Amino acid sequence: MAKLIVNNKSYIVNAAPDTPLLWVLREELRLTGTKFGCGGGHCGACTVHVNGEAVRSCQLRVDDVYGAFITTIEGLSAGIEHPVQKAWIKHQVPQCGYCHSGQIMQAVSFLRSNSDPTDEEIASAMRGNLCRCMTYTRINKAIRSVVQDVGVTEI
Amino acid sequence: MAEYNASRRSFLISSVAGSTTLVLAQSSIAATVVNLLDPGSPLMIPENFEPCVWFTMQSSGETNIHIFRQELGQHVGTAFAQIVAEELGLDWSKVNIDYPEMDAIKVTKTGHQMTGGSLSVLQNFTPLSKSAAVARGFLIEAGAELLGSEPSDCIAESGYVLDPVFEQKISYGEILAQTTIEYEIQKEELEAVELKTREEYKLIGKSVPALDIDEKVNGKARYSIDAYVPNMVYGKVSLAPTRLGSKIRSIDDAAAREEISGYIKTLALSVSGMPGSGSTEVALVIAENFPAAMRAEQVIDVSWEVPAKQRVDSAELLANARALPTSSDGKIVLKVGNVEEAFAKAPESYSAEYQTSMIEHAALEPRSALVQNIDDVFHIYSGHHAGSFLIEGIAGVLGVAVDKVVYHPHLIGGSFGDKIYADQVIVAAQACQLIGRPVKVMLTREDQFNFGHPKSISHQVMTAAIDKNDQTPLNTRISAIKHELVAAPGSPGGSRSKIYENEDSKQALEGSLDNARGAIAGLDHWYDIANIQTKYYYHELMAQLIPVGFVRSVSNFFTMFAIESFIDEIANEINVDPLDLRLSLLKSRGRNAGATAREKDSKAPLTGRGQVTVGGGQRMANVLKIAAGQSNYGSPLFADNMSQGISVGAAEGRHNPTYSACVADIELTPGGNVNVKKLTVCADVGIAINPDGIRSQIEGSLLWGLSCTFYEEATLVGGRLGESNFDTYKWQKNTELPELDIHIVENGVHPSGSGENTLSLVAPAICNAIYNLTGKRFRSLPLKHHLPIV
Repeated sequence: MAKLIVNNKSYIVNAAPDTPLLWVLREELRLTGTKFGCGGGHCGACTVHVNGEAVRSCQLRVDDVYGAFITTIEGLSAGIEHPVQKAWIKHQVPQCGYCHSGQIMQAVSFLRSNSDPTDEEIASAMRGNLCRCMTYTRINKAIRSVVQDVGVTEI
Repeated sequence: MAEYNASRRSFLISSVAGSTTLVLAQSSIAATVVNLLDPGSPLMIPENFEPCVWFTMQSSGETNIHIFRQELGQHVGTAFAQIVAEELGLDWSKVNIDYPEMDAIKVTKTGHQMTGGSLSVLQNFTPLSKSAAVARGFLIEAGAELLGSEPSDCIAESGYVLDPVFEQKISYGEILAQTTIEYEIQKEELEAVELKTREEYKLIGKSVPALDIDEKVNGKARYSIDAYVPNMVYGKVSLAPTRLGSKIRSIDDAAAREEISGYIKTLALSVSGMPGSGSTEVALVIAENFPAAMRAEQVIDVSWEVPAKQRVDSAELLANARALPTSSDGKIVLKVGNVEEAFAKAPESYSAEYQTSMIEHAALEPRSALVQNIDDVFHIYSGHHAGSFLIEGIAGVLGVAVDKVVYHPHLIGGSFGDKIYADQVIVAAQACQLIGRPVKVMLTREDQFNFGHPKSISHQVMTAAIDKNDQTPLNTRISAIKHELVAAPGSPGGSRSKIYENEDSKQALEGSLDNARGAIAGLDHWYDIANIQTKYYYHELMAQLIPVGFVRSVSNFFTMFAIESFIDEIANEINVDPLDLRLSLLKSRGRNAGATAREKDSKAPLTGRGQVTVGGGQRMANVLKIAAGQSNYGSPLFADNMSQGISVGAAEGRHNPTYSACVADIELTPGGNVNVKKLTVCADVGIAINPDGIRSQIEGSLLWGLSCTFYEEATLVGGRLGESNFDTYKWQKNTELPELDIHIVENGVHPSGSGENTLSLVAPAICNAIYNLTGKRFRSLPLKHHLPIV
């Protein structure tokens, strides 16, 4: 039994120590916004923040993040108020939507670390997040619009 | 309830609470109406207006549009809602969508609803429009009555019935709060009702934001993999050494029982009985949670009996495909004129062979299904393309009546054809039946690769009778084309073959063609060529090894690759511009004229889905001209290391032709790699319900096409796929993206598809561009095997 802090709430979880964080979030805490895509860190669908950094939750053992601050898509805003979420809506980015929890978490973390990214830096930051509907051009437009419209101080 | 005997109709309108000032008689139900705020009163729920299965209107003024096609990223619900809202005259801000369950009774009202082939809007546009138009008539009548107006003076708009003569109006919400309209739309009314003309559209053609986006950016959207019911257990498949044909000899689960906390048992199951599922056995490891099921699957020992004939590799499979056209007789798919005579007369002939690889759906959400038995009814919580077929199939598998199976649709996290297949539902349902608890089966990515349904490999041989003499009219310089295709179908169903006397014939002699569904789309191209013979060779070995499937754009991907590459090759061979050659062959002759535009002596064009081909080859020519013009085709301004290539086509076939053309601008890097700088596409979709939604689908299709052109290839190793995750199966990332310049054309007659129709243009346009730049002709995909060019 150990304490997991997710979206500023504490949970006592019962998972075996080597269970990937992804499955604890999804199956034990029922925070299903974080998605399973490949289980190998290749697709980015399971991206969450740990202590503010975007990481692949399928690649983390749950006992490695006990006590850390974990943020999932559900904790990003109460609804759809986060500037990156708003930009995703404005540009009508999602098709099936499955990868976009991960895409958004990746983009938020990236924009917090780079206030004025070039196109190449955006591509480099986002290249590990696959989208099979291939919404890439809209993802990139949305990220650029966040930088232009709201500035990164609000992210 | 008092019957309201309207002179014009006989439907039932009765008043409910609060409508005392109106001409309608106080109904009997009103007498029993009670104060909802008084806890002592019996509860009365207001009646909804539900004139058909497609939508329900509430007294709040909100309308729920019921979506029976599966949402898988195409925002089908938004398109359907726009169609209904247009004819019903709804206030768009009061429109909701939902995805109702499918059961044996519902299907009698909806008919079979199969999401696929980019057909949803094409097939549902007329039924939805007509039902909404008839219902609008009811609302006008009831609203007029409440207003004291003549119905013929009233119109419906933005959620109101308006009487412009007396300048009064009443909202749909007010109407439904004051009356109950009990009526089911009759068939005769659907036939008689007149639809709005294109000029009258207010919502159709508008890029309203999709209704399902918000929940897809905050984690609230509920996909198949998110399904949950109390007391459920988890199933993890343990797959055979070959994709098909292996049988379970024994299962030793002693280690799992000893070591894995939460492990329950392992079942030996057989997967068959659903279209396209093939026949295979799987071991299903059941545990209290999914991590435990995954751990247990690692330690159980399943012994398999593997038939030697299933142990086949890619090289042998391709060699087998190559041999088929010479070693066997194909089946005629299309015949026009007499190719043998034409070849005998022709000065020269030209031939080329094309190959494509297996392509995975690679949808990001692996397939999953949760099945629960409640009072002997099996409830399926999953995402599947065709709930109405699913309940029939699963009922068959379980040996229960169809009314004992209910499908509860969940969103699909990408399908591209993947979730047409039901293997995961079959095993979950069987397990649920066997162990008596709800079972949720989830495939891992590795399972997905080896329990999936990739696109068939293809092998094609094209031969043309050509005339290099530039004095011969351009449109007759190809006098005949023979086309041979080897591939396997997505399901065993039948298709039609067509024989035309000559290129001016409109009527075909039709025949049936087995084992060709999803394998021959695109062969029936729109070029006016005097003599054509197209043959299909069923690739039995492919089907024996892998249950190949419908993958986005199905066979158009390889048939259009061959046809559009070959036309360019011929253009080069006879020394004419590929654009000029194509335009000379797109003159709408005979079968290529498409549907007749209007009846004799009638001004109004005919409408409906049968008219989707109207214009035929001429529309192909138009989109090609637009794409060429928009892309500055042939401009002398391109740098020496840049070039263009063109392609044109009408996927998904003659039942759903979205006439489209593509120009690829490419650049050769100093290292010999190909950068695609820009794809200019023009697509004629007939009627664009939601132009931005269509654009979004085309953007996705083009990048899919790009991905399949350069990277995607699933190989066969010992009878199963050689790839098992995205480290080995490579596809397009968010990097090195071309500019996408998309132009939408409409003729206003009937909508055609947009989900996959432009995908197949990309590979031939790029290969044609590469040839134009380097003189190298690549006739097999993916291009990664040919690059860098040295």
